[in-house]
Amino acid sequence: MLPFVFSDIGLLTSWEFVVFVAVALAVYYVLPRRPQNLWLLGLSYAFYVAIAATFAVVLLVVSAANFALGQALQLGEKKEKRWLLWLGIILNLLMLLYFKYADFYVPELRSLLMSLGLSADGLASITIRIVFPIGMSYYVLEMISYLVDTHRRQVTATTNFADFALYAAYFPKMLSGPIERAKTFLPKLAEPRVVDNQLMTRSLMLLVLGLVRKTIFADLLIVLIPPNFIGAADAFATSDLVLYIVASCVFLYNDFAGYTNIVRGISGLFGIELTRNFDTPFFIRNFTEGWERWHISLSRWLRDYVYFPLSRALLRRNPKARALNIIAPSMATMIISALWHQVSLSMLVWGSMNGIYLLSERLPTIRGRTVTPLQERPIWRQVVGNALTLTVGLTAFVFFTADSIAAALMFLGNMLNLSMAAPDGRILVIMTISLVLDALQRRWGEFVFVQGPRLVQASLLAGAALILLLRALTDLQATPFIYQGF
Amino acid sequence: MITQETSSIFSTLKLQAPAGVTLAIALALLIALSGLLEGSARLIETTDLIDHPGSVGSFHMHFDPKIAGLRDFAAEQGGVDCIMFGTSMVHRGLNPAVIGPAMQAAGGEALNCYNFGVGGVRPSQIAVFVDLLVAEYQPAVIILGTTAVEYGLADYSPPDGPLIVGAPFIQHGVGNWSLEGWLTHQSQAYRYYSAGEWWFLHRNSWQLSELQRAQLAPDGFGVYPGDPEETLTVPSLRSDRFREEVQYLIIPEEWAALQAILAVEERGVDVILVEMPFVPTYWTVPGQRATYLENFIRPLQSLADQHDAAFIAAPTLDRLPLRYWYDWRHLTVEGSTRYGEWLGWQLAQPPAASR
Amino acid sequence: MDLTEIKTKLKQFIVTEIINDPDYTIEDEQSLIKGGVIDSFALAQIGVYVEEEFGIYIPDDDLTVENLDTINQMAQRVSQG
Repeated sequence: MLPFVFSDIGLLTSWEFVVFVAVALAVYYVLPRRPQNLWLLGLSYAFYVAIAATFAVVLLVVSAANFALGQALQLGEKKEKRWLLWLGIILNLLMLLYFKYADFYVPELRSLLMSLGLSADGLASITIRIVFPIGMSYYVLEMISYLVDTHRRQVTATTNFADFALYAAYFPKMLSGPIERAKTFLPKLAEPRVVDNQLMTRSLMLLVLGLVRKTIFADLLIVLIPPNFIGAADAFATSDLVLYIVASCVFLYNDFAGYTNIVRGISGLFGIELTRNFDTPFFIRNFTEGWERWHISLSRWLRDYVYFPLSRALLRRNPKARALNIIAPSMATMIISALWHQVSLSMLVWGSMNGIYLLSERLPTIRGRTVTPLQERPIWRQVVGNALTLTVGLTAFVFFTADSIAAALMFLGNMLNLSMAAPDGRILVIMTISLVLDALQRRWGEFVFVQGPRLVQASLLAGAALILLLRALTDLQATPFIYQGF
Repeated sequence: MITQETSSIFSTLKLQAPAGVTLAIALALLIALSGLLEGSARLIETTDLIDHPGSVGSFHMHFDPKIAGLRDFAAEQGGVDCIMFGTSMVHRGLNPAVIGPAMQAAGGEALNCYNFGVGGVRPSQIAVFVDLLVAEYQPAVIILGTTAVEYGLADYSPPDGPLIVGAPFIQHGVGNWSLEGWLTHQSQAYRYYSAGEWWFLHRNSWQLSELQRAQLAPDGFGVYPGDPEETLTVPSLRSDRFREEVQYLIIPEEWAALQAILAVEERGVDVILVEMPFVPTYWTVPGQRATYLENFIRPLQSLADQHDAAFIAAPTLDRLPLRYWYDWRHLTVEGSTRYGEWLGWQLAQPPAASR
Repeated sequence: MDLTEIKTKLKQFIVTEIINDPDYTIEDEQSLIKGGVIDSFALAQIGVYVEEEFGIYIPDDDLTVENLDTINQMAQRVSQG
C-alpha cells in the first residue's frame, strides 16, 4: 500500500529510466515474440541488479523454486500435492518474513536511500519496513497465487522457465505491483503482442496521468505536509491535523496510483496490459466499496486466497453459524492485510478497525434486516455515507501512518482540542485538482482524457506536458534557505 | 502463426494511419503556448507590471535578487565600474552610495559600484561569482571584503554557498550546459515560473527573501532597519568553537580560491582587498589580534603584493564603536555610513598611502 | 435442471439469505453487485450455495463481479457445470 519510497527515489521518473525504456522498446519492437520475452527477462534482471544486486539472486532462486514446485504440483499424486502446496506456501511466506523482518537490512537500506539522496526518516521511514526487500512483498503473493491456482487446476504449470521467471520479475510491476495472476499474465507471454493505436493512446494517457499524479500532486503534497504532524500533533491546530491527515491520504493515493499508472502505461507500450489498482477511491459510499477500489490487485488477492477459501470452508462446515461465518473471514483477511503491510501493533489496529468497519456494514445481514442496495439509496444517504466512510477510514489511517499506537492515540487526542487555524491553501488546491480528475474518471471512465474532441485532448496533453517539463527541470526537493541569523 | 510472427519485422507495433495527430497538435500547442508565455513575461517585465524580477533558481535571498538587480543597475548606468564581493558583512557593510561620493570628495575618481555581497558564502563560492560576473560585466575594479573567519574551520556561515553555486544558473554560466540553466539565463517566463515555485513550495524562505529584497538598495547594498541595542549579541565568544576560531587556521582550498579571485588581475581587472571590521568587543582573548595579524593579515598582504592588488586594513577600533553594530559582525546602516566615509577616503589615496 | 429453475432458486437464496427481504424482486439482467444490491463478499455464500444445491464448484477467482453480476450470468455459470 505504500510504495512511495521508490517513487521518492525517483527511479521511475529519472531520465536514466526514460532512456532505459526507450532502448528497451526500440529493440523489443523489432524482435519476434520468443526473443522478446528473453529481452524483457534480461531487462528486468538488469533493472533489479541496478537497484539491489543481492536481491536479484534471491528473486532468481525464488522463481526457480516456485517453478519446480509448480511442475511437481502439475504432475504429482493427489495426496502429495496437497502437502507440496502447503510446503510451497509456507516456504514463500517464511522467506518473506525473514527478509522483511530480519534486522540486517535496515542499515543497508538506509545507506541505499542515502546514496540516492533520500532521507530515511519521517514519513518515508514507515515505508522502509513495508517495501523492503524491493518488490518481494508483491512477487511472493504472485508466487503463492500461482501455486494455489496450479493446485486447483486453474492454471497449467508452465514448462517454460523463461516465461515463468519473467512473470515474477517483469520490471514494470516489480517494485510495487500491480499483483498479477499467472492465469492472465502467462497467456500474454505466450501470444504475440500487438500495440495498436488504441493501446498506444491508452498507455500514453496512463503514463502522462501517472506522471502528473506522481510528480505534481504527490511530490508537492509531501513537501507541503509537515513531516512531524503526527509525532508533534500538539503543535498544530485541530483543523490543521484534519487537513494533514486527509492530505497524507491523498498524497499516498496519488503516489501509489501515479506509480501504478506509470507502470501500466509503460507495460502497455510493450503490449502487455497490467491490472488497474485504484478506481476513484475517494468516492466510496461504504467500506465494502472501498475494498474494491483501493489497491485492487491486493484486495482481489486477499479475497481469492484468504477470504473466499476461509469463508467457504466455514460455510461448508457449519452453515448455521451465521455470525462466525461472516465475522471470522473478514477479520482474518484484514489482519493478514495488516501483517502484509507491516508487522506492528499499530498496523494491527489499522487492520482490525477496517475489519470491524466491514463487518458493521454486514451487521444488518447477520441480524436478518433488510439492506437497501447502495445505488437505490437517496443521494443524501450516499453523500453522508461517503463522508462517514472517509472519516472513520481516516481515523484508522492515523494508525497506518503513526509509528506506534501511543503516537496515534496522542494524535487523535489532540484532535479533541477543536482549535482552528487558517488552512494551507496550497494543499487544498492540489487536493481539489486531484479530486476533480477523479470525479471526471468516475463519471466518464478511466480513459476520459483520451475521449472527446481531438483539440481538447491535445490541449490537455500540451498543458500536462508543459507543467511536467517545468517540474522535471526544477529540483523539487532543493533545500530551501531558511537561515535567518544574519 | 509462427511463420507470420518471425517473418514480419515490427510484428508488435501495428499503428494505423492517422497516428500521432493528437500528439502533433499537442506539440504545436505546446510550442505556441511557450511562445505566448515568454512574450507575455517579457512584456510584463519591461512594463514593470509585476514588481518582481523572477528567480534565477538559486532560491537564495541575496543571490537571486542581486543577479536581477545588477542587470538593471548596469542597464541604467550604462555599465558597472566596480563590483563588491563578499559575505553578508559586505552586503551590509559596504555602501556604494557612501563610498563613491567619499572617494570623490577625497579627490579620487567616483566609482560606480554594485554591492554583490551574498550571505553565507565562502571564498570558494565567491571565486565562481567573480568568474561569472567579470565575464559578463567587465568591471574595471572588483572589491573583495574579507575576514579570516571565511577561511577557517570554525564556520559561522550557513551552508548557503555550495547550494547557490550548484544552481543551474551558475553551472550553466561557467560552462556546464543544462536546459534549466539555459532557461534561467534566457527566459523571463521561466524566471517567473521559478519564482512561482519558490513562493508555492518554500513559503518561509520566500517571505524571508521578499523581506530582504525590500531592503535592497538599487546598488545592491542591504539597508537593514533594526535597533542595535536590542539585537546586539556577541555570541558564544567563550565557546569551544570560538577558541578554535581564534587560532585563525586557514583551509587551503579557501586560500586557493582567494588566489583565483586575485588572478582576475590578469584579465585587466584591478582588485582591491578590504579587511572587514568586527565589533570592538570581538577582540576579547589575550593575543587574539596578534594571532589574527600573524596568521591571516600578513599572508593576505603578501598575497596582495604578489598580485599587485591594493589592500586596505580595517580601521582602528575607536572608529567604529559598539553603537554602530547590529551584531558582532554586521554594521548598522549608520555604522556602514561612517565606515564608508572612511573607506572612501582610503580608496582615494594613491596606492602607496593606502597600504 | 433448466435455466429458469436455476434462476428461481438463486433469486430465492439471494433475497432470503443475503438481503433478507423476501419481497425484493430481482430482475434477470439486474446488476446485483455493481448495482449495490449485494456486495462482493456475498459471492462466497453464493459459491457455497451453488456447490451444495447444484453440486457445481465455482473456483474462487471465478467468483468475480465481472462473471457473476447478474442472475443470468450466475445461472449460465451454473449450467456450464
